[in-house]
Amino acid sequence: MTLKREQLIWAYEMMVLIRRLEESLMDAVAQGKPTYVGHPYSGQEAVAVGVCANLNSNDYLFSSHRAKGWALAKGLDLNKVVAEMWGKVTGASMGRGGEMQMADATAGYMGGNVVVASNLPLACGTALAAKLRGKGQVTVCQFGDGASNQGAFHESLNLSAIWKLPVVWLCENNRYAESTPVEYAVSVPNIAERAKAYNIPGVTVDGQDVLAVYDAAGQAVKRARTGEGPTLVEAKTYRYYGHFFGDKTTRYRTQEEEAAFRAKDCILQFKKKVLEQELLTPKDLESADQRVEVKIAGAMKFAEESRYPTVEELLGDVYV
Amino acid sequence: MPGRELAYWQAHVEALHQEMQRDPTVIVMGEDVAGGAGRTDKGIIDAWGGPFGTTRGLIKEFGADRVRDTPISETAFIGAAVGAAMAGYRPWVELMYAHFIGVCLDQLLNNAARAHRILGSEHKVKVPIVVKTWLHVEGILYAIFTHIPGLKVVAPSSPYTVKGLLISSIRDDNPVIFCDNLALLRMKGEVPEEPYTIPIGKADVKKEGKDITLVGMSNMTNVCMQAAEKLEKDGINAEVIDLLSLSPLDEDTILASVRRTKHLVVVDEDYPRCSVAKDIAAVVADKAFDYLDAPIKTVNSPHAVPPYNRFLEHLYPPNPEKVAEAARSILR
Amino acid sequence: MAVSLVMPMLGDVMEKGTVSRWFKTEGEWVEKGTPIFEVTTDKITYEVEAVDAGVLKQVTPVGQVVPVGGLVGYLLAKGEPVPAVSTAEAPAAVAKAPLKEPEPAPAHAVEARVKASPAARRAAVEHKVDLSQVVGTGPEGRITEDDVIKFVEASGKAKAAPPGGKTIALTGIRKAVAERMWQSLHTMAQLTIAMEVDMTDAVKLRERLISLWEKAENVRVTYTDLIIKAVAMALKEHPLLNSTIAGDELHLLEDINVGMAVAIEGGLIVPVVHHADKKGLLDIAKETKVLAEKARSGDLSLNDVSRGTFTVTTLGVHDVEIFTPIVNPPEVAVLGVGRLVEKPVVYKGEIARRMMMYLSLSFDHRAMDGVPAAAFLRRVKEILERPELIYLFEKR
Repeated sequence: MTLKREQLIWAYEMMVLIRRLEESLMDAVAQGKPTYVGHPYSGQEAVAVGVCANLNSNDYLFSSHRAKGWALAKGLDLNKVVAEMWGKVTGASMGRGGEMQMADATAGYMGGNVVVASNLPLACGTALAAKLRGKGQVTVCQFGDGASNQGAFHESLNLSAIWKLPVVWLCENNRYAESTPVEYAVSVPNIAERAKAYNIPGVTVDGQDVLAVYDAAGQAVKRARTGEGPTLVEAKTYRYYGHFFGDKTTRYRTQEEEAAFRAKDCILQFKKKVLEQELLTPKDLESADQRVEVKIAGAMKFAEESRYPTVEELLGDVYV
Repeated sequence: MPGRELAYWQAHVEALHQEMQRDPTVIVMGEDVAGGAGRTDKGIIDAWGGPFGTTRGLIKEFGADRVRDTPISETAFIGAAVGAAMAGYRPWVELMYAHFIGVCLDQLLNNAARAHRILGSEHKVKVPIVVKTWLHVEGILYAIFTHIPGLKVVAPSSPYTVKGLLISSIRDDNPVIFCDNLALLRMKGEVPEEPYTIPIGKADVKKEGKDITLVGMSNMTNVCMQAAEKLEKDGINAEVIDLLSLSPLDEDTILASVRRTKHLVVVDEDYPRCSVAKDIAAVVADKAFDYLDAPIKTVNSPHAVPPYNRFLEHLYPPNPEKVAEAARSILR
Repeated sequence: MAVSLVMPMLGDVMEKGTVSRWFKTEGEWVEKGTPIFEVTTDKITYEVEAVDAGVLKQVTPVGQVVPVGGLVGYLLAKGEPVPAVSTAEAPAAVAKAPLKEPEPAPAHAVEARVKASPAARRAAVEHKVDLSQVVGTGPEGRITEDDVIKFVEASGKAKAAPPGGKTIALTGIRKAVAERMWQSLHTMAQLTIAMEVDMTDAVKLRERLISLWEKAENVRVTYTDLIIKAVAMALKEHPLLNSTIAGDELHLLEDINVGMAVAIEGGLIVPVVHHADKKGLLDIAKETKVLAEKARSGDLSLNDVSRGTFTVTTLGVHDVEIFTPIVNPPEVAVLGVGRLVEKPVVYKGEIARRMMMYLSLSFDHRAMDGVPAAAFLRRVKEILERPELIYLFEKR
C-alpha cells in the first residue's frame, strides 16, 4: 500500500501539528498561561497518524492517556482540542473533560480514558454494534504496553475473538508504563505475541515509521472491515517526555537511550525518506510547516479568548 | 374483570419481550441468558433462559445476535454493553449477582456514568444501557450504585412494578442499574398485558397513613407493608412509601409524607453504613428537621458479613417485627 | 467546696418555678444570708437567700422555668472551678422556705432543657408558645407538634391579634393564672350548678356584728367572711367537696382551708384561711382583712397562699349574678358568689322585699356527681339563710 501525495502531505502536516501543539502548550505553561499539557505525545506521532490514515469518520477510535495526538489524527477540530486543554467552554467537551475525556462522536473519536485498559471493553461494544449494524465500520482501540497487563485486555481480546468483532487492538508500546520498563512488567518480548493466546493475528511494527504503521494498521483494518475479526498490532515507539508533563525521565531512563530514539525521530525519518525518494519537495514541507504555525497560533488565541464554562455548564447534565 | 396474574420473573420476561419487539436496537447480553450459547447447530436452544428465567424464550424469537450469551468476563461484556450503547444500541445486560460488581465496577463508574457528560459537547454520547442484577443476602449493595452520579438505580417490589420499571429503564437514555431481588422471583401479582411504563425517579405511596412514614424499596416495601399491618393492631396508622427509584431519589414524596406524619422509619436490606436508608435519613433531617416529632430510625442489615447458612439467613435482614419495633420506639 | 443553688420547693404542690431575677451578678461575691435570686411561681414571688458565702456562678438565665430541685447556679470558693454536672448527685436545697422545712430535692435530677421535637419547636416559634408551659405526650415525655397545637387551641393563642389591636404579654402572675386555668379546664370534667340564697337574715346579722366588732375588734365583717364560714361548716359535713384527685384515687382532706380569690393588678391571687372550720367568724374576719391587705401590697407569704382545699370567688360587686368559676387545681370545687340585690320574692306566702344572691358552684365531675354537689350547695344556702347557725357556733 502506498500513500498518495495529498495523504503524504496530510501525514507530515499532522505529525508536525501534534508535535507543535505539545510544544506550544508547554511554552504557554512556561509563560504562566492557565492551560495544561498533560501527557505529551511527542515522539509517537507516527503511530496515531499512520493508523488514522486508514480510518473513515464513521469508524470508531478509543484512545487512552496520550490522547491529544489521536484526537487530532482522527479528525477532531484543533480549536476544540486546544480550548479543551485550556478548560474553556468552546472545548470539545465544554471544558469538562480535558485531555483524556474529550471526544467528538461525529468524528468517530470516542475519547481517551483515565483508567488503563478501561477502553478495551468499550471497543468490544462499538465493534459489536458495528457488526450488528453490518455497515463495515471498524473500531480501533489504542492502549499502551501497561494496559496489556490488565485483565480487561485479556477479557476483551478473548471476547473480540470469539465474537469475531471488527476491532483493531492497537498497542502503542513506548517502553514505559509510567516509570516501569516493559522488560520488567511484560512477560513476552513482543506484546503482539499475546494474540496467540486468543487465536488472532498479532503483528509488531516500527512505530517510528509512519508508512510502516500505515501498512500494518491498514491490513488489520481491512481484516476487520471484511468480517475476519480482530488483530493485535503492536507499534514500538518512544515518548520524548515523561509520563506526564514535569516527570523527570532521567530518574528511570538513560540519556543515551533517549538520544538513540531521538535520532530515529519519526518526523526526521519521514522528511528524509520523502525527499530522497522525491515523493514530496522541500517546498511542500515548508508550506506545511507554515500552515501548522498559523493553525497553532490561531487555536491558542481562540482558546485564550474563549470564556470558561459557568458552574451550571460544568456541573450540569448529571443525566441526559 | 380480575387482572391477569404473573410471577415476577414472568413479568420481567414479558417486558423484555415486548421492548425487543418494539425496538430492534434492544439487545440482551449476559451469562447464560440463552444457555448453551444458543447452539442451534447442535439442536440446543434456550437451555437456561437466564440463571433465573428472566430471559426465557427470547433467543427463540430474536436469535443469537440479539440474545447473546457471554463468557464469564464481566469487565469485557459489561463494558461492551456500554460501548454498544455509545454506538446507538440499547443493551440489557445481566450482572448475575450484585456483588459481582467487584470485578467490573470500573466500566460503570468510569465509563457508563460519565460518557454522556464528558464525551462531546454538541453531539453528546448517550449510554442507554440497563444493567440488570440480582440482589440477595450476599450482596444488596444499593449504596455502591446510588453513590455514583450519572447512574440511575431502580428497585421494583412486585410483578407489576418490575414490568413497568423495566420498560421505562430500557427506554431511558441514561445507564440504569436494575436491581431485582431474588426474594421476589416467584412473587405473583396482577400484571397488565399491554406495555406500560412507571416513571423513574418517582416513589409510590403504597399505603396512606397519618402516624408514621415507613420507606421501603424492593422487597423491603413488602416488609414495610407487613409491619404496617402489625402496627395497625397497635392503633398506629402507618404510611408506606415504595421508593421504586433509588437514584434519582424522589425526595419530594418522602418529605411531603414526613411533614404530615412527623415520624420516619427507613428500611433497607443493604449494610447500614452510607446506605440509602442513612442517606434518606440525612435528607429528611436536613430538609424536614422542623417537622420531626422523633428521631429518624433506620432498619438495615447488620454491618457484618451475612451468614451463608440459609437457616440462619432470616436473622440477618430487616423483618416486619424489627420494622414495627423501630416504629413503636419513636411513637411511644 | 461548691454549693449548688437549686429551685426551692415553696409549698406542697409546687413543681417548678421561674428564676425571675438575679440579685447578684455573675462572679459577684455573695455573703451568707443575702438574697441571691428571685423565684416566681404561679402563686408567689420569693427571694432566695444564700445559706453560705461564695462567688456566684449563674447557670439559669432570667425567665427560665426550672423544676423543683433543678440547678440554678453555684456558690464557689474563690478560684474554684465550676463542678461538672452530675445527675446522680442530688443537689442540696439551699433555699429557706418560709414556715416550712426545706424538702429534700428529688433524687432523680432534673433536666433543665425542655424535651421537645423539632416539629414542636417550630410550631412553638410560629405560635409564640413557651414550651415549658406545654405538657409532652411523646416518647419520654417529649413535646410533640400536636401537643403545641392543642395548647394553642386551648389557650386561644392561635387567633392573631385584631388589626390595630393591642398585644398584652402574658407574664408573671397573669401567665401563672393563664396556665392554671387552662390546666384546670383540660384536666377536669367541670360543671357548674347555681342556687339562689335569701340573704336577708345574713345582712341583718352582719350589721349587728359590725356594730359589735368594728370598734372593739377593729374589723368589719364581710359577706365573704360569712360565706367562708358557711362553706367551712358545710365542707365538714360534705367531705367529697374537700378533696383532691391523685391518679386513680380521691383523697378526702383532713384540713379545711378555704381560699378567697383576690383581684390584684395583673391577675388573681388566692390567699387561704387555714382550718376555717375550726376558726370563729371573728378570727376569720380578722384574718381575711390582713390577707387582703397583704395581697394588694404583694406581701403574701408562701404559707398564705398554700394548701388551699376549696376556693371562694366573688364577682358580686361587679353586678354579676351567676357565673361558672373555674376550679383551682388540685382542689375539686369552687364557689362563685354573685351580687346581693333586693328583689321582690314570695316569702311566707306573700310577695316581700328580700335580699337575694346567687351562689354558683363549679366542681369536678370526676370527684362527685351532681347530687352530692347540690347537697353541699343546699347546705351552704341553709346556713346563710339561718345565720344563727354561724352565730351559735361563734358563741360556743
